Amino acid sequence: MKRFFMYTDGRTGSTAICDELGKHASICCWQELLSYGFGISAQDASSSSLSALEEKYADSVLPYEVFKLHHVGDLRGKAVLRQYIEYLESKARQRGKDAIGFKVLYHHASHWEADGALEVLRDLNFLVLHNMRLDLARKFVSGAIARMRNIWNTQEAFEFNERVLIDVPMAHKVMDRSKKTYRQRDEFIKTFGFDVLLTVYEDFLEEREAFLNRVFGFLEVPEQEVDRSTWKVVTPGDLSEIIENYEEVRRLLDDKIPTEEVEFNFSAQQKTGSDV
Amino acid sequence: MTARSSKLAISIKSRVPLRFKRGVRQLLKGNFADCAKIFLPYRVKVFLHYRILPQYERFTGKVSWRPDDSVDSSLGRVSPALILREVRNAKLHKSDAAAQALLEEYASNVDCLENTKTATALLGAVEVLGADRINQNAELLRSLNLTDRSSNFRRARLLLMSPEHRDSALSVLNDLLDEIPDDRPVLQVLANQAKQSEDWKKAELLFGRLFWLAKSPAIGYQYCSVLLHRKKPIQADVVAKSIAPETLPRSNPLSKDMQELLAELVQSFPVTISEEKLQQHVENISALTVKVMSRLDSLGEKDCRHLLAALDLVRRIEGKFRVVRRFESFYAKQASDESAGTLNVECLNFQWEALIRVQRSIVERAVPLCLNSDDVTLHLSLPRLVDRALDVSKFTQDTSCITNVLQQCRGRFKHAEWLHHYELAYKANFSEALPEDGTSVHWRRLERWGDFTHAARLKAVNELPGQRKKGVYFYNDSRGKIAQADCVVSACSIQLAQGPVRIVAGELIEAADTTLLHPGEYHVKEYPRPNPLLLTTGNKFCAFSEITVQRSLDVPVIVLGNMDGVSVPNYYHWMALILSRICYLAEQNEFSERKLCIPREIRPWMSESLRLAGFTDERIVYVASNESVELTDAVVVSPIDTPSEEALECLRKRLFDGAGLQPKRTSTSKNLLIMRDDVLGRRMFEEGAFRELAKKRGFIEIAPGRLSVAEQLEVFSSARSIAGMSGAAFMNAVFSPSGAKVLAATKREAFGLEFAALSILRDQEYRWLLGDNMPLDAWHGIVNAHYHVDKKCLEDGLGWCCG
Repeated sequence: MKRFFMYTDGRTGSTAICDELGKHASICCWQELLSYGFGISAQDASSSSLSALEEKYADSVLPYEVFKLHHVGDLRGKAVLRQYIEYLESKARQRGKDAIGFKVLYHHASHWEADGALEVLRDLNFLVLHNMRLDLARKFVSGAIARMRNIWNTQEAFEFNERVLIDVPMAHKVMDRSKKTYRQRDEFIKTFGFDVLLTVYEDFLEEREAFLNRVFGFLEVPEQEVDRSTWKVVTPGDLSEIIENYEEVRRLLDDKIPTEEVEFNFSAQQKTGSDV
Repeated sequence: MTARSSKLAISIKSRVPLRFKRGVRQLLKGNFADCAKIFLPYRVKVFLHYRILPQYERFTGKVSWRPDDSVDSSLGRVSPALILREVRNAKLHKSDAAAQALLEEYASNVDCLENTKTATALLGAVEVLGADRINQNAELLRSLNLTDRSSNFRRARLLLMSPEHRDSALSVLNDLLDEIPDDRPVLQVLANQAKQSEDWKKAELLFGRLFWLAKSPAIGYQYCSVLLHRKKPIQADVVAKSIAPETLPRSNPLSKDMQELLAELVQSFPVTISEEKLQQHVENISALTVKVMSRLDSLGEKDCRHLLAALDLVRRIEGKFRVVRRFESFYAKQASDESAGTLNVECLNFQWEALIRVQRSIVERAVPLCLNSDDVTLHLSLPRLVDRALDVSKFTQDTSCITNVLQQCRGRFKHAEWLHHYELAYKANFSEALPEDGTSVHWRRLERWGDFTHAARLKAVNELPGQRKKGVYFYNDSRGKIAQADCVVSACSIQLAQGPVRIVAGELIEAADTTLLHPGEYHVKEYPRPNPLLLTTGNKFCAFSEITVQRSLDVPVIVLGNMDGVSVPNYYHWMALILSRICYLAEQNEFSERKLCIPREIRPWMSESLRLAGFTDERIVYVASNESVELTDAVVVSPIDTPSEEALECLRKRLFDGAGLQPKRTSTSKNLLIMRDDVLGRRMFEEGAFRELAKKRGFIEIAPGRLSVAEQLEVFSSARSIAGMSGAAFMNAVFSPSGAKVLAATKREAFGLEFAALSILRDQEYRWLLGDNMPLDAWHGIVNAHYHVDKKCLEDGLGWCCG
């Protein structure tokens, strides 16, 4: 069984990428399984059957936190996580697939150090797809709109007829921080000894097939054409429809940050594949 | 060196810096040059502290305070720490005026323009003096040489309060925010400014930034208000649901217990509770309260700040429960709502009392800790603690808390102005007999209408009896079903009494024996209202710094028992409780030989309504808010708390006549929608949907606040249905025909009977459209918090209203 996780920040297109990876004949790829703060009590978790609990979740697989609550017993920390990975693998095998993957957001992964989860994943030979979005301005705007609509990702139609005010001065600050975060997170994940493939959302948008083939190659699964994601792009193409201070935001979006300013020699690594 | 001085020098406490000890020894030896080098920065303080005044006088004779050739210039400055300490001490032990004088002395003696540290100390001293002294100190603030970001922010924040320097302060604050866009204190000040100046777009931007940084309830509430004001209810709802609950910092030793207690109290706030949960709930709260209180004993001086933070938090939560107390009689009369459990006023009061008990325990623990502390900033929080003690005693009617606290503070701050203020407040609230006047304190007894108008004082001249009226109103219960409730509008009689009276400070009615008329409870929390001459007020007595009659009026006048209208410029209060009385009396010919006496500062729309009612300027005597006037021949009209059917009929008649309109007897086809776009508080998250649904059903949206009184009369006179968000504008329903339908949206937690009563008096159908308050708002009380209404109920309600 091949194993991987996508290590990424919010609003980087990772939901759609994970979804499309999961459509590969050999890959089971779920969304955020290792997130925290599920509102379920230990009592509820232990009193319900596994299948009843699984039905509650869109991916028909329990998130890690719920799995832990369901398995209230003598297992602790690392042992529970190992058992959870086995649980995921059994799910993949039921579907006739031989690779498992899921998405981990940076802020969810901040709990890992305490749990020792990262060591477990490394020992189980997990591969890492470190996904980024280089257009930080668009990333910020997308996040701000999603937050004010409370719609982060959806597969259904939705209505929203208000306009959002984007905080442009704050955008500059957040973008500066994001540049540093990319670099720090990349160093962090590599220091644990993972094999890391850097991916960029903009590549996914522009050359989808090449992007996916590159990932399939990294995961050592056969190249294959996969269906497009059913997740909707929640930010409309014409931002002036939804943004109140569009002129100001347009200047922010037009004022693209050169790639080298991301303080991360991304291009060189991508071309040579030296990060793999 | 005298033996006494020697003893003093030797017995200097060990905590005094070595530098001081050396200085005192040099002084006692008469080595003034050496002494000057040590003491000049500390000046008078040390001499007073060690009571060695003879030496001090000799010392001042030898040394110049000002830097000159003979003294090193670096020694010519006063210690910055001393400035701050002295000003704080003057405020704490004497008065604000004494602290101000000291600050001015320091400011004139030291070279504050050059020395940054001194300038920062002077800035701190101005902060200590508070907002009241900003105008006086504005020039000093401007002249201070401040270089660091934090001091510049503090200065700009203070200068913002001075109208002359507001623009320059704003410019500084904007520059500071440009440098660091997520600087929370700067953001907070600028966001509030944007709101005050009604720059809503900027307010949304800044409150939004601030909220997403911390998600605090207070900011969340403001942000919601601004979003609703900008017609973004979906986003406002998202913000409301993202608000984090009230918390104490984790480092607070009370955190765990207090958090449990508060969570229990906040979550259980809905006015109903099921029988099976009630007993358990009461036991839980009792246990937690005891746990919190027992933990207080183990806290020491270092925990003082934590105690103060906990007190603030509990007070905020408790604010919600006060409303319950106010609405208690109403809740008690309501039918129980079985789906949500039985209404239990006792349980609510129990929770409220638990919070009061916790506050009392915190105050009683914190006061001795603060008093024993050497930290002056802790001393500065003593007035706040005394204030809470007074509040606790007022609510529990148990004076032991405030008595103990005042007694402890007296030992240390017996000459302090702030303590004097609380001593007066104590007397005003708890004295049995009228306290004796002092040199600058003049006490007055407050009496309600029944006691005030006894024969020796005023002569009863007329009584216009009212009638009780029974009716019903409808509301949606928590399952969405329509329920019916009885409503009895109590009889409202209007009494008149004649005799000489005085009007004090433009508002208060004083009898010849100096007793003041207390107009009643309704909408009057503290009476008299604050004015420059009022020192304090309580349930029975109030005190003034001076009361001097400035002029005498020999014209026969009629004066209202409550001259409300200036302090509470509310459309409902003016129309239903004030103008209706005037119109009623006019219809009874009471004004045939008398003029109407009314405050000068009434709003333009009030003047317009008086004109429409037939009261031109020639028929009115105005009294300004800063005036005290002797009325030799006055008829005083009793105050009223509820609308009177007869008076409302007279109001309708006179206003319609004045506006040249014919009141319609039957409903026509006009459906009116009233929203609250111009008001920030008590907004509904479903405003957009409500507006849309109403417009689809043919409702015409109007903003009564933007119309003249005559226009409002015209619009409402032909209304068949009135729907909207409850507020004073619903007073206009009385101008609509009988049989009209009225649908008012508000929250289940707080809805009064006033507007339902108006409709019952007018034989109209009235339905409340009840929703629930926004979650986790403990800052703004339940009355003005925003609320949700179920969309299905909105549709049903509108269907009923125009059906």
